Amino acid sequence: MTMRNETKQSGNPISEEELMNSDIKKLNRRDFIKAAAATGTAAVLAVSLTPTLKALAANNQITSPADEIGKWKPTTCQGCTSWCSKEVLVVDGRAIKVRGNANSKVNGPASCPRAHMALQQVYDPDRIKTPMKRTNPKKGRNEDPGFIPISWDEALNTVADKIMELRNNQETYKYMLMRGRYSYMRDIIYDRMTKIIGSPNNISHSAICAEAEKFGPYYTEGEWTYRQYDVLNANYILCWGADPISANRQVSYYLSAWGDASDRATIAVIDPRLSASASKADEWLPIKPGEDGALASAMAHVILVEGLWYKDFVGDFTDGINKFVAGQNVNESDFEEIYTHGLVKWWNIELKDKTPEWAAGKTGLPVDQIKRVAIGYGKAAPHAISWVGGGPVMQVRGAYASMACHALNGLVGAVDNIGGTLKANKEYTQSFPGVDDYLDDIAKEGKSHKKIDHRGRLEFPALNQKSGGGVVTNNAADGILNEDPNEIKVAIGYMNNHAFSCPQDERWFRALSKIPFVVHLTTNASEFTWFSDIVLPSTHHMFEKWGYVKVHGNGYRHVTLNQPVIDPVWDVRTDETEIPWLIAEKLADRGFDNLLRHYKSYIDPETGKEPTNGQEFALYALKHATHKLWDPEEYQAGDKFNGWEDFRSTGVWNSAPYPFKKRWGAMKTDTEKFEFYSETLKRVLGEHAEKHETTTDEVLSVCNYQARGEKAFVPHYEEPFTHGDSGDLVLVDYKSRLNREGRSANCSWYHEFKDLDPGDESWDDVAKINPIDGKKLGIENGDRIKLVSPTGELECTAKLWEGTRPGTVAKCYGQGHWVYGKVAAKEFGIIPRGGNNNSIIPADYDRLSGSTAYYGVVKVKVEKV
Amino acid sequence: MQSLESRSKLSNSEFRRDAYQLLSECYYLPDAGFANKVNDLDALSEGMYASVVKNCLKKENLDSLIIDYTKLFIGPYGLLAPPYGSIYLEENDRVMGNSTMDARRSYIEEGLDICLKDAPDHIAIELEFMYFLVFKEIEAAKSDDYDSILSYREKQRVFLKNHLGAWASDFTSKIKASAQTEFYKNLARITKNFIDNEKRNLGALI
Ligand code: SF4
Repeated sequence: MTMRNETKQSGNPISEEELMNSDIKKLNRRDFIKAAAATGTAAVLAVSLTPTLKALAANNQITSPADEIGKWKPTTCQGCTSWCSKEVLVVDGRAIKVRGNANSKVNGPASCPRAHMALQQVYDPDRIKTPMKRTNPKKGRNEDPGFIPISWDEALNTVADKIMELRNNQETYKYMLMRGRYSYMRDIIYDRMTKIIGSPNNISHSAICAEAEKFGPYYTEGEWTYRQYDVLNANYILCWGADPISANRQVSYYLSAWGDASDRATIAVIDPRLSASASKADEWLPIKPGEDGALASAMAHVILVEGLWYKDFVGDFTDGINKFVAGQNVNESDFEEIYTHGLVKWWNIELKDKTPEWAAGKTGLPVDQIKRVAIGYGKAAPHAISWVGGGPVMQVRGAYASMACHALNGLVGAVDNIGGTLKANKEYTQSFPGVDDYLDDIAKEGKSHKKIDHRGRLEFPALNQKSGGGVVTNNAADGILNEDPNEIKVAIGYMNNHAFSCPQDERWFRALSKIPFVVHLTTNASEFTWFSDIVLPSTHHMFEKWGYVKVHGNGYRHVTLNQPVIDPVWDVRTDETEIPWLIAEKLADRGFDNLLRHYKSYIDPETGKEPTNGQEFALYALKHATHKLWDPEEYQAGDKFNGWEDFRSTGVWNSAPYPFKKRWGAMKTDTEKFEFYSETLKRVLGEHAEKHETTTDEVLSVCNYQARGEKAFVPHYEEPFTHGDSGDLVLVDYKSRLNREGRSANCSWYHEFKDLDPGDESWDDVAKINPIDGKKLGIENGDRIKLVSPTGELECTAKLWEGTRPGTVAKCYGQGHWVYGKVAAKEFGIIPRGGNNNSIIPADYDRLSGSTAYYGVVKVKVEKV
Repeated sequence: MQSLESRSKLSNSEFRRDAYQLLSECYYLPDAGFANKVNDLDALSEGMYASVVKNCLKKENLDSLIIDYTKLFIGPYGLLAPPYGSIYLEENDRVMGNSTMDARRSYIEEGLDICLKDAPDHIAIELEFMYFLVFKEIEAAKSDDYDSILSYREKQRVFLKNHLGAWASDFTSKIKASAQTEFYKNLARITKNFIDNEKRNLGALI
């Protein structure tokens, strides 16, 4: 309760009459006590022998004021998708330090720099402190919402009324849940609640993350997942746009291991800008944006021509003589493959003409560097990692770059191999109880409607394992705006900020303004919040919430717990568990108790008790999900515990070590092999075409790919597709190493240490331009400039920097908030601090994966302000 | 003599006690009982603000007070006048700093602790703690416990010096700069004058 008088009613304005009747007397000091007594404020006090206290209360239990030493308590950081197990030093109930949880075999005691900013997040004075409601009925970028505090009760009643309205009108499909970051408690709010209310519209953020990164691995080795890399045993590490010591995954671990890894391995980084990893690499390949597929194809070409493929994995020519000669077809029957499928097809369809000379023309890289890197990488087989980051793949047509770059791992036998690229180890968490018994007819009917993001339509295949299996997050804005397939009337968002993090952000301003009732569960007032009707203050994932996440790295997988290690300063509740429970209670009050009955089925595995409130529910749900990890009776593998308390106080469970090569010959592709010719993609794409009664060529044409015929099924080069023909420079967008996924912009340390991003400046947001281009464009260091694209513009400072490839402008994503807090915004609600790259990036997609394109997607004009 | 002197100070202390309590009340979210506080404030300022207060009452309804309060002290509008000591006494604009913990330590030493959800150095809580200390001083005076009187005055002086008095001036300037309603502008003035006075007098009273 944030400084609210609990005993009195709030919310009713005093009438003019009432005000005039108030007895305003002119009193002197002597009369004051009398007056105070008469008016009530001091009534008790004047005769009281004990003080009348409101915020303070007698507490004789705490006699010694300070627990000076404090205690290190385990929890989890979700400042990026590394999901490190951490420990927090808590002194007197206050978090003061953060370190890696040494019990984790994934991250150990290591920490990245941004971990520490979690402390500034949790103690941010600009956090949402109490439920709030909008008082300005108009919504828009320039409409101050006029939020005022309300009680949890009022907030939840309002939300429940709106949901009941949909249920009563049998239009529950007009309900929508938008998920941003999550813990694995997510299904409680994202899946179960949406289904039981009766909507198909639970829309995740995945496609604004890095779905295209999973596309290549899935359609070659059958794993729709992020990989881990055995860097300490690698002889060559090739990073495609990945910046492992700064962003991407397992940053804490790679930061601690990178020194040793680079002692042993040659490291080559392919990136149009000098990233942190590039600055420490043996080779920097400053490629033209979007040309990665050309380099990958040329590397495969060289590896084959030079006979460097890994024969124990791929196989060999039956006569042992290498017939891969540039420009010449090879007979499929001359080559006998072992654990791979379609190598010769790949060569004949794509690779045979992709010489280093050809690639040099596309990529802007020197021929000898392309050859040197390809040969170095090939010679390091099988301990040669091809590490595909978001850069080359979160682009229009990025799916094929994802396949092309990842296929190199197959060629050198690095897949599932020591010093190579690995999937996740097995873990034993379990899902929450099912919903089937709790779906009534309204819910079943509602759920059967089509989703608002258009996944699975001809132009949005989103082929996560099947047609429409993935999400097209950013297209949901268009679905909402066009009421296609239907209007959205009630929307809840949590731990997300689509109005900032999605390209062409302005579409979201309009889309959210259009939805009559928006609820935001958030720690800070973000751009999404600005368009909301009810704001619910949420717990910080690292200090105030029960949850768990699972993630892999260093040859292990860990399951690490988010724990409430401090007393929250304000009246916050947990987004994924407590708040849905509280909504379920309110719905039950209104005669719809299916959701509450469902949640009550999450019993405590230790005691068999049913939850009676939101906090118990959160805890029981977590104990249920992780039951097999901590209950010795249920033991499967990996770390063993004596029980829940043993697991909780350790904070993390580790899997068994990685079983190398176990998947050789047992991959989850249609052929069970590593597919250079993807039978799996051929089938799935064929199914999508069939669903729309058309051909795969037509699908590819509609979806803006260049491949036709057989080429569609092999990793291959596609020309980059870039908007803004008349622009000066291609925008190279990338993530700040301090971003904490975009939730740290209100931390002063973010701005103070911004120069940790190579080329950046403290307390500024700079667009980095190569001095050659600076001269051409008449731009000097420190000039205030505008970057203008076909869909928007932003203002920032120019920085001339050799670390940017000529022809491009490199700018970090992360700043440009016009809300979030008084540090993040220059003038809250009005003037942004820096510029948001997403206001100049047009909304476009890699349609095969459903991914939003962030990189190499637009050419911008540079104008002096 | 001594007892007479104690008694003559009583009314002054009671005034201070009630002033702290009232000011503390004024930094809560305004509710329907708010008109009473406006009355009391006028009394507290010895009628100095009567006309201003009257005018503001005519123009303002509770909603605009609530919106103003929200923008000044809760956010999320950039939190125009953060009501937390640590924002003014420490770097980096955060709550729950070392100074916050020190304020809480002062409460604990008096057998008290926070019983609502907010940072311990919220203006309303620090004002309430001063009210408590003055209350205790009055109690001591009633039983002519001169040592305790001195001790509670010393505690007031120290808390004012290290906490409330150290940031009230910066805090109230922020309110003055950003408040939209006459009520909060006046509250800032009254708070500042009162605390300034307290700082001067407490030194002399000891
Ligand atoms: S920010 Fe990422 S790498 Fe750093 S500690 Fe948190 S989860 Fe780990």
